[in-house]
Amino acid sequence: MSNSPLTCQVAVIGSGPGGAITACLLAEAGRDVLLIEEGRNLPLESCPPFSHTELEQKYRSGGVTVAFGSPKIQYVEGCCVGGGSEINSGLYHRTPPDLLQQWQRDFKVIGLLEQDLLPHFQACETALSVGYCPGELPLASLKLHQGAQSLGWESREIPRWFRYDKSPSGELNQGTRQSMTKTFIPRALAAGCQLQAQTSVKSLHPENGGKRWRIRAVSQGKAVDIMAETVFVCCGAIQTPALLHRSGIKHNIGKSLAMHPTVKVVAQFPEVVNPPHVGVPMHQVKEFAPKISFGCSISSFPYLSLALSDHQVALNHVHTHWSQMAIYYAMITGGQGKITILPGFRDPLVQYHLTPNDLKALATALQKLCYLLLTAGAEILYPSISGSPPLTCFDDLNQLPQSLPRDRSNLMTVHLFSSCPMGEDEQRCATNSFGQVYGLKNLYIADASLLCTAPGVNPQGSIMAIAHRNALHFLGKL
Amino acid sequence: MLDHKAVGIAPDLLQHKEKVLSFVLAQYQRMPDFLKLPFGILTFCFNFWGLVTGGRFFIYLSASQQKKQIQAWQSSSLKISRDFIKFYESLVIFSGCSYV
Repeated sequence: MSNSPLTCQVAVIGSGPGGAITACLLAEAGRDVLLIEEGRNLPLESCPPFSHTELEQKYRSGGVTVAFGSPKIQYVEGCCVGGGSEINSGLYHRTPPDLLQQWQRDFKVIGLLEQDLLPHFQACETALSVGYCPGELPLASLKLHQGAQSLGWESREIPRWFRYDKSPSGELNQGTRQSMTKTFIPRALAAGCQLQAQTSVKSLHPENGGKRWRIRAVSQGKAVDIMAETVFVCCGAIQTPALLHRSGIKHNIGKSLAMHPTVKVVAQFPEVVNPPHVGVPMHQVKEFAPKISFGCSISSFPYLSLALSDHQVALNHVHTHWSQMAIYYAMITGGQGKITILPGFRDPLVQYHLTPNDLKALATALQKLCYLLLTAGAEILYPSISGSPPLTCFDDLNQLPQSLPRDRSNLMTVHLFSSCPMGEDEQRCATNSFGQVYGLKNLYIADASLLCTAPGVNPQGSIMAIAHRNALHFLGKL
Repeated sequence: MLDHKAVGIAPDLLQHKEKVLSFVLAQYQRMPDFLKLPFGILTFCFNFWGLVTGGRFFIYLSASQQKKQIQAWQSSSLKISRDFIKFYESLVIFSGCSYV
């Protein structure tokens, strides 16, 4: 690479799971790769997980991000080297095989069935040490499992990308999340990839008859131009379409955003279920998947206090009893949204629409989850609906609405995708089956935007495997 | 807005008042740019509302008057007022509890 402007063979914009894997494989294949990241380059250990410091250091807009609609849906995005992998729960799923068949049927995606993705899943699982927790599982997790088992519902422990090292005395530690800064990014750097953090890309401009790209960026307050023969945009389901829109690239971009709208409930048990530093519990209930899934959330004292603020529960009570409490969630796969650039503003406007049927599905999901938690022995339940009374017995479930009220429901999500779907159906898709943007031979997308629809499971496994497959396809190795 | 008598938070949870205040202000600065101006205007209106109803800007009202104004906005029929209080309340609770 030379100075002024920077030049490289391949620019990868965004260092989350899609970008990190793409940069790594391309650098290991001998390509001259520049990995550009808007956020800071911080080690995983720079702050405690799920802390307010993490919000400040590693989340976009400090976590103050919302999809407008009725109801609004709060969402979060990573904004640091490693992206979402630095801040998420580390729970791993392969893409459900029937979903891949659906994508093949509805979006004409080629070469993306279970057997096609298998080697890519395996490669990512090995690199990230995906496996089950070797120690005792937290009781908050087991409560969900026990409740499901009592009802005959399918529930299972979900593997995570965690590595467990032994102490000198032979005991296993609590595990270290194998985020991108622990895995693919060091590999990429070792292979010669250059990392440019704290560099915000403003727009992309084709030059030389479309043979190369001029990337206009701002790095620590200074305007920077970067020239690249090929660009991979890997900024996530919101920022990728935003960047492409700013660059005048709009064909099927940013119009089909999907997410997993999620409603939460705080359960208080008679015993301690949530000791300090437990992280995100590992069980999920898949009886009603893919439309509805249940799981556990981070349940630290600050998050519990926040979740209970609508219920007028005294903070002193939460402070005294928080180890008996845990936050559970019910998520669905409905709704659709879009990303819009507002003239004169940097940040994109995200809008998301839930239909009456989606709100009914959320209410059904909440009711089933509350039923499960009472079966598991919860004494009090606090659903995340403003003004909703606490529930203490099965009869109280009748007080839950048949459809979530638009003006009182507090919804959130950490899973966003499908804003630039891939496939051979050019009328419907933004890229071909391997992430190449239609009409632009040297522009690719490699992130959650490509997933054709909501997967109904934690999406990082799908994002990584598809990025792995597409990078190898780009290199001619498939 | 950080007086515990005003927001109903136990005093021991707000012993790091300055850190909480600095977190709230920093989060305001971090929020998406198209939201900053409307929120800034709303914050000004909220402060000014104290002058209309209590004869002083909100920040100079007594704790009990501040609490009354917060409750009035919290239970307002205007969703924007409720959302405004919810936003600041969430930041205060989350950061206040993080330091305990």
